[in-house]
Amino acid sequence: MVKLLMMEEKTHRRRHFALSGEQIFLLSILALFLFFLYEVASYPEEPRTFPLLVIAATIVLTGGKLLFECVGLFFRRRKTGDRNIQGDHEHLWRDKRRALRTWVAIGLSLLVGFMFGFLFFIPVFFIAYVLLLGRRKMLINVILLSLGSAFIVYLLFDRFLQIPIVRGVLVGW
Amino acid sequence: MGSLWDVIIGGVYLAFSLNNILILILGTSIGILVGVLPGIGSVAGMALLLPITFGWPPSTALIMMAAIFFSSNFGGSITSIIINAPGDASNSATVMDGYPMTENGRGNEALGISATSVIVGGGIGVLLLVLAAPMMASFALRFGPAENTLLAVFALSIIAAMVVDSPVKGLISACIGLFLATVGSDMLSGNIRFSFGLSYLEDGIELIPIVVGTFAVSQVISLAESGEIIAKVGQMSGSLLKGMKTYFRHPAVIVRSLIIGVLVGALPAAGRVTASFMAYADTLRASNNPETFGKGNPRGVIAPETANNACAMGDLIPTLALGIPGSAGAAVFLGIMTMHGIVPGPRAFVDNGQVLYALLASLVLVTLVVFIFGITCSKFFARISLLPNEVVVPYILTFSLLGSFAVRNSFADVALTCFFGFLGYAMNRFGYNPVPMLLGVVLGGMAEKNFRRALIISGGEYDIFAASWISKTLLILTLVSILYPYAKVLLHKWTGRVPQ
Repeated sequence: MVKLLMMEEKTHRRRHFALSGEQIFLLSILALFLFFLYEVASYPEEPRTFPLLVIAATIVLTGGKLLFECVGLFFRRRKTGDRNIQGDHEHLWRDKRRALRTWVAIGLSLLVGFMFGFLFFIPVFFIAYVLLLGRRKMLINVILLSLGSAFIVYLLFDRFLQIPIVRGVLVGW
Repeated sequence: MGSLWDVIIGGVYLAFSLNNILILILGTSIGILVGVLPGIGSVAGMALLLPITFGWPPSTALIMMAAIFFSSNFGGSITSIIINAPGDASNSATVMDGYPMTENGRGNEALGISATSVIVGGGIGVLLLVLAAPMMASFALRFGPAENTLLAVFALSIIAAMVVDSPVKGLISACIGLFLATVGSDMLSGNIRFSFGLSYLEDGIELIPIVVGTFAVSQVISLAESGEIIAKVGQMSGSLLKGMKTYFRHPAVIVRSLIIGVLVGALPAAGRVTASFMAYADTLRASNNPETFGKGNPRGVIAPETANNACAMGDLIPTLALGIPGSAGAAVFLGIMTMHGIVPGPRAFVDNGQVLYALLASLVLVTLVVFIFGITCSKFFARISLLPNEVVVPYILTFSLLGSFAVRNSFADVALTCFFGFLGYAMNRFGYNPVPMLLGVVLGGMAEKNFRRALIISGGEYDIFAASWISKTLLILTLVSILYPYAKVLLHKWTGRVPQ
């Protein structure tokens, strides 16, 4: 029982200090711009002034916002006693799983496109999309549609517009 | 004066060339199509088509984009009226009485009203645009380097304050854009900045991957995430002709909505959504029978649609004349102009007068083409919105990535497009609108060039940025635009009223 209570307390504490999506986003921007600040210091004075001003402004705004977010969240959690309160825009994540699956479909198709050529991107994305997010009973129709589309793209770009479609690294550029 | 007329006539001649008219018809159909597809809209539509226009003459490319920008609004109204789903946020007010009209068996009448509002609202909006934009631009010719820098800062601050719920978020987005504009070779000294040894970045970051990624790819991801497009076409009956007659039976509503539309459009960053809801609210307030609104009152369609169309043209006044976009769509349009070598702002009508007058003349034609499409093909376009998500999402994504690839045959451009797609998606999710970022990229080069010129003129003294009365006014306006949203909340807290 004591162990269970301790585990629950530990989970609550973890949630209490868990970063919201927006805070992670702001932290990433802040880290990147601190790196850019380090980089810009080595430039000659004239080309340095404007980017330095922009970078400094971004760091001040991002840092301020991050501080405001953290302090605000801390006080809201403390005031309400609800440790599960999240950042303002957390509710905008309508369905994390769907978003993740969409990115997986894009990543997979881009990888195949990079390896075997951009033409392969089209059927792979169509199929991956239907398998991961769509109605699977449409699969046959979508496969036919994607193959047809890839063929039309090939004709349009490679033959008609004379824009060669990029080949994959495994096939040769 | 003679030379000005030569420029105007040359522009009109350019707009009426067969090639440009065909492009205009194509752009109008695409615009209605992207407007009809819920979740796509004019911004993503322009971003999608942008790579295709690369290499076209500037006038042709701008005519295509202007046709998409303006006609998508009508596409959105079709779905608002027929399937109860606004194609764009700016058509949300039309739903309130448009769909009830369809339910009452007056769908065609509502479409007739919407089509007529395009020609009246859009037509009068263009006339005002033709008169106001060159006048505003000629005033802005007095601006020196310091004033131009402050104008860019003001444009960024006002769009940052207006398009997102928090000005700080908007300013962060704008700063990211300004930073992106500094990547690559410095235009004055030739030094390479922030390339990190990658030769790809030495020429700077191209606008196409940014626009296509942040506006088309991220939009597609959101569409995929939201699931299927579920809608049902309402029973269509009534007469389009009756709708046109109904429209002109309410002249007071038309005049008031036109004034609201143009004024709101001319205000930087106020946008179509504000205009259409303001016009709807004004008509409701002025009505003797407000209880009929929301149940299919034609005035509830006339007001938002007229204001919306007039506002779309009003949006372009500060965009063309000062380089300050009136809305998200106008910001993308501004980027496209820059990409085609037309620098919006004070000198735009001097340096590229013919192209801009061709654009203005073609806008008149667009209203006519949209009207013809409206009264002939609305039902057909509405059916397109019922395409399953499994077809729409992969097609749009493939088309976006192919477009960004085809510009330079570079896989790196595709990867960069995906990166900006992810960034745009993340920004949207956390309430950081990417429009100020795009504006930062577009205005960054101009702002830096003028900033450094001003410092050279003043010998390194920063006083030059507050020397003239124009500079002082711009500084005050910038401060007001940043502080206004906070002041508004404080004022409402103080008076005890809830902000709308």
